[in-house]
Amino acid sequence: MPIVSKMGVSQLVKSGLAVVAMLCLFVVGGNVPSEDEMVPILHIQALFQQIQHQEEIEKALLEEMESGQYSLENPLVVVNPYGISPLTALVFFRSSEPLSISVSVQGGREGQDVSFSVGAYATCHLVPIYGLFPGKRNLVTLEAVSKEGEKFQRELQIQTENLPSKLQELVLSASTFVPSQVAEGFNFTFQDDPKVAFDQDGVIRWFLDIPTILPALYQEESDGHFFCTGNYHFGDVIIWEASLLGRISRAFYSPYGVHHDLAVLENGNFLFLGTQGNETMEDFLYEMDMRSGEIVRTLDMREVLDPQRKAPGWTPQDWLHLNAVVPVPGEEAVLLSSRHQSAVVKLGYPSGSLEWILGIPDGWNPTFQQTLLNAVGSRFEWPFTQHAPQILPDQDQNPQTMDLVLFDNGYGRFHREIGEDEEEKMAENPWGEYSRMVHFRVNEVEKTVEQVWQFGKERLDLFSDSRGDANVLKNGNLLGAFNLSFPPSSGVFLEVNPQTREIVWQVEWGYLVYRLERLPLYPKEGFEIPIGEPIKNCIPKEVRQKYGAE
Amino acid sequence: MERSKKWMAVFLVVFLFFVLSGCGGDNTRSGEGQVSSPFWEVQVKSWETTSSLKSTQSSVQYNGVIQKVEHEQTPSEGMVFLLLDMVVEKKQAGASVFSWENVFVEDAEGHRFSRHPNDSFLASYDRQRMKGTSLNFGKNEGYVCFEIPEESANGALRLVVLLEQQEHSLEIQ
Repeated sequence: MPIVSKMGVSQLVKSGLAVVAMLCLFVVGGNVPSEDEMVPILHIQALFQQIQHQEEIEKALLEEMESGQYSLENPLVVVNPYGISPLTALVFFRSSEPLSISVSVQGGREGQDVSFSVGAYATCHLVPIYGLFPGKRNLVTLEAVSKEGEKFQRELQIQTENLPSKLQELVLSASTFVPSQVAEGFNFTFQDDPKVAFDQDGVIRWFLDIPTILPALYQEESDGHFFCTGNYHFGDVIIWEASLLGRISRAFYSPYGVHHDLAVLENGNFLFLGTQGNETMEDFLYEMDMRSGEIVRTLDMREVLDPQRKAPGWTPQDWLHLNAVVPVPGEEAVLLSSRHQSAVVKLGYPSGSLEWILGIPDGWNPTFQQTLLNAVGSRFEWPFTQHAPQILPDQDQNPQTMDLVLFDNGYGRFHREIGEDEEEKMAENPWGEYSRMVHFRVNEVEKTVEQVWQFGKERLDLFSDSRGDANVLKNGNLLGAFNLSFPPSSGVFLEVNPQTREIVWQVEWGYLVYRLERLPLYPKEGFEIPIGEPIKNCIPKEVRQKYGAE
Repeated sequence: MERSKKWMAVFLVVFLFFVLSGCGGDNTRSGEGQVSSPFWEVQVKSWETTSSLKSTQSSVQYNGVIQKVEHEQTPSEGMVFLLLDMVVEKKQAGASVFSWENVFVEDAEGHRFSRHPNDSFLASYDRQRMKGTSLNFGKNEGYVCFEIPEESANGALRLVVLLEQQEHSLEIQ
């Protein structure tokens, strides 16, 4: 995503002034930002400009709404109201009596309409429209019900723009689709850039048109908002919350970057994976109070695991490469996935005490021996350079066990260290490596682990040396995201029935793949769009000044 | 030595900034002209014609590496891009809608050209793009792109806008 895509001439002039001011500061201080350093600076500035732009938009929108001329028969329809979510719209109107509103966007095939009920009775109506098709006159139906049960209906035709060319090539084909067996929802490649959601036919129905990086979190159970980071993996980072409409509601700052993942703890605070300093990377956790933006706790993993233990992908600096953090429900503990230790660990949090390690037992310092899980069962295979563990609800009525599914990349399964010469051989996958979606069952008392199920060992074509995802869906199927090594920069998303092993849905993707989530577009219940309310800005003044936003 | 390095770095950053800013164009003019109706005010702040758009952009990759991407966009054979930097502002709240279907560029021969059907590429050339969907509130600023024949670009051009069923026109050149 181009970093200056949202910057116009006036914005560029402002940015230019900020850049010149920053240069002066650096020159005086003796440090000139390198060209590479300018990229995250411009990213952060673009986000600050979007926040300012949002305020201007809402001021004008309120003025328009106040005209009082908009009714159910003649509503105000604003496509892409905030300029960063082109396949959404906002509908506004007033009614003389309280009405409850529901909305339906006609789908691509029967039974695939996107519907949502705003819920509460009101006379002032702001209705978000999600899931519009690109480059199409979309048929959207508003249904209003009075307290007496009288129904009114209004059909709208909402024209959207064509997809930008860079997005037109993302979904290559939806080669398999058995509608009766596929779990509901849209497919969010949320934790990547570009962030898009596409339907089961492979049609993009939502995308975010502002630079972001990898990690993101969608809060399905609350209000349909998502959190993402709009700048850079390391150093200064702005974390922001927005609705799918593109309305930013909160913004936070961290000096520790965000890499790969973030999670919500039971106390409501967020836990981030980041980096502290330059010596090592991606081995640092920090907890943020999302009411204040204050970082209330940190944990340096160099004090927990052994930075000298070598495993596939290990380097002295990137020795751990944390790629997932998953709070354990009902416990003061988290699961962490480390790509470069090929291990999933359960860690008491915030205590930092190591409870167990699910990973190949080679090379561990003797002090870790008691925490290593022992493999049981003949079908067992250790995961290598894995991603995205997901804790499952109880599967066996045994309180001693924890079931989890993860994406086992398998990179390094048959070779532990790759020299320069061997990298070329990798291009031909000479070891017959494979990636899998795997269901493991950990007995936390006996410190054992067994393999319950896997998919992928038989599919060498799906080998993904990096990235990837595996999720158990609500219908019990598994959703996989394979970031193919051959050819690179391509991927396969698929849904498989674990009983029959039948692939019931598959999409070929023309770009890198990180994660895929199957989620609804609309939240479960109605939510408010607080137009005119300033965003909750938890970014310290000195940071805003640093980036020319004050 | 250290001092000259520092100033070279300053020069490099400023140079890159202007490159990223997309300076250049075959024919660029500033000048203000506007048309208005009870609901709308349409202004052309500047215009340019060009036979290609080029830029270099940087983006952050998965591993934090900065990748540079070269972009180039060319019009169909025998055509040029006409870029208008516009402001479309609603002056009075109400149900009036500004539709791009009612906006044309007209050449000296009276041929009319509609806005490019997908000028989203403008964003890759460091120009804030005006939304391509209908406008119905507030102040909207940004570039729009038309593709016109080369010979048309050499003659008189005017912007034709239909506002509240009345045709307005604005001389571009």
